[in-house]
Amino acid sequence: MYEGISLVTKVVMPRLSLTMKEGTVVQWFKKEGETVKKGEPLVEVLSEKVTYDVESPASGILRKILADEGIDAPVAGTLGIIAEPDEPIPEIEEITATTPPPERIGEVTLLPEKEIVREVEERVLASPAAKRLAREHGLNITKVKGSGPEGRIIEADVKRCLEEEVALATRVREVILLKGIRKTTAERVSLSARTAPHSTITMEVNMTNAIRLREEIQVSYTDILVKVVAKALEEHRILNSTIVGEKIKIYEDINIGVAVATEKGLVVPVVRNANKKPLLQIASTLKGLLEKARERELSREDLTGGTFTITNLGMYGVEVFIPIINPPEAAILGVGKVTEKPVIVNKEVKIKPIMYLSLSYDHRIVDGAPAAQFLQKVKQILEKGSELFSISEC
Amino acid sequence: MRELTYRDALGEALREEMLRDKTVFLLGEDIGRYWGGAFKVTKGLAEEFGDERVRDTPISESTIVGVAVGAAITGMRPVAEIMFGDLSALAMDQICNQAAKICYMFGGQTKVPLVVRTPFGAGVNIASHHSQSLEAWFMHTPGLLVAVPSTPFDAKGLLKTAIRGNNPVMFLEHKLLYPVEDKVPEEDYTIPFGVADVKLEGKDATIFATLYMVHKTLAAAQELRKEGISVEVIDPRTLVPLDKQAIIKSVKRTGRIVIVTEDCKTAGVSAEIAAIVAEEALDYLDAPIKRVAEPDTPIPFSPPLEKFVIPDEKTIIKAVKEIL
Repeated sequence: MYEGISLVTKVVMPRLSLTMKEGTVVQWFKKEGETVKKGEPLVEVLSEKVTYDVESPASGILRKILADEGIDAPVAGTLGIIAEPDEPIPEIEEITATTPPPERIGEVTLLPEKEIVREVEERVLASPAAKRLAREHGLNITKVKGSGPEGRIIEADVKRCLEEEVALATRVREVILLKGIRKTTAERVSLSARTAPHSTITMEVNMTNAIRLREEIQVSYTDILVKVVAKALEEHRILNSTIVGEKIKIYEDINIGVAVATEKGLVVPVVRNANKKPLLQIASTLKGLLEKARERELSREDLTGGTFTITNLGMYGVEVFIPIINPPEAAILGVGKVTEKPVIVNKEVKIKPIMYLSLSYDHRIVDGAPAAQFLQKVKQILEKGSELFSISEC
Repeated sequence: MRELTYRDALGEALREEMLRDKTVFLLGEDIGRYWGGAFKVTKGLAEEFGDERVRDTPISESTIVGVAVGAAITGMRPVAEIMFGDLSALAMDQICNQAAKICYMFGGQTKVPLVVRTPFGAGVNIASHHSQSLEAWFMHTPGLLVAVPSTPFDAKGLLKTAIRGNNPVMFLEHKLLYPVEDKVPEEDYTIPFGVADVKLEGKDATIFATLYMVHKTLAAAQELRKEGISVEVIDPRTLVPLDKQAIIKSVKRTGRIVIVTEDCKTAGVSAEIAAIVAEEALDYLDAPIKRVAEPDTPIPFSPPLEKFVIPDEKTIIKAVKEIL
């Protein structure tokens, strides 16, 4: 310690644009008491236009968080304090949600100040009370019809006008900040839809043998699909790839991600080298991953490295859907529910358990025919008992 | 509750205060046993308290107030009566330069616990020298308190507060109020200065009125009610100190104000009230401030002309309708 030199540093709300007056704290990357290094992302903030990761202005301990996630703080307002562990820190008041959120039920949007000034210059015949009420609600008073003497706009006219506007406006029940998993998902599906030209093909699969296997060794449809897809990818490598600039990179490893819905949102834990794992091992790996997902204990390792994703909405009664590719992968397989349906077998109507598969693929990487051949392979393994049982062993 | 006239309510306040405090005494022209005061407020008090405490004076308003100021600074609590408010002009130096300033000039080392009672107002055909309403003169002079009671209840409660206080009070009455009868409790009570009274609650417009105009306004309000117009009548009861917040609060609710006073419009009480509303509640006004006051003219002796210049129910109703 250097005597007389303050080692206390304030983390403040940055000004992200000339007009920015306040910003929202979206996410702290560190907890109170954690060590931070100068320059590492410390807190994510949001202004009307952009999100921004505020880098730590100093190295030390994040001693105090003064503005919690979701709180609006003024530009230059202190969000947190970094100091040495035993350094006395100044007492700064916390920023709380004392100011009303920008959107409230029935709120009428405030006009820019300039416009209000112009209204006054127009010399509208309106009472001071009417002008005040209009000003308070950002209402352009020239739009109000006056009912007072000589057509003067009075307070009651403005009130009526405001009530009409409120009746027309769509009411907001609540505002949810786009953050955490929701935000990541939003960004990733946007990226995928924006960059990867999607095409989707579907196929019907007779699940009679898959059901047999499932019951025999007590695994789930998803477990079976992970194994089958991994095996099919061995023969159709082009779907186990990614596009990087002007190149298509085909992966050696076949790592199958499984989309999992949690309370906090969608996560995609990955079963690595699924083509080389016996089905029972896949089942136990997935079971562990699902538990971790529920407990929100998935590690970085669990969530990265995927080369192909399976998403199953069958348990929600969905028959067919068009999934969005999990970027930067080349394709995604959507799985529907298994339903008993009448099918024609040898010119006879029979009842069979049927499931639809839908494959969305990045058309930059692969065309319809090879994608269809891959899906056919998946279907073939699932339907053909001998093949299905043999791959489940290795 | 028993009813008393405004006159008797004032007389009762004087009697009770004289019984309560030996330093209280009265002085004025013809207030004693031979006449009982021009408006009979002090009738019977000389007989009860003697000529020493109810003193008839020469016809010299300057002397009356001068003596009272002297008595007040030496520890007495005089209540001087000036027979007509117009004649307070003769005592202006004693009131405005002496009574109002002494406490300030002597750094608070001496006080002037003085009450000057005097009636204002027209309506009895006694011409320009006996009919004016000059409240604004005293309201304009720092150092004076100004009471303007409009009912027997307010008159008694405010006069007691005036006598018990340590500052000079101009206690302004109205000739037409003396016979007005209303409820007055028998037990001792006082009314603090600076607290307005809402004489009638309403929502469409606020009417500020003082003294006899309170009664004309209440009569006008009855007429307006028949047409579905609801007005709020605010009586400040004291002009100094003035209950500004009561006025502003009411204006914020109704968005409109009509100010009804009997004094001349130019630089009158109504001008001050209008200025306060414009300064402090402009953004709540939904219509121009309206004043109903006397034109800038001496009060005519001719009964039809006098009636013409004094505000009445019709002019009040017209003013309210003009801003609704």
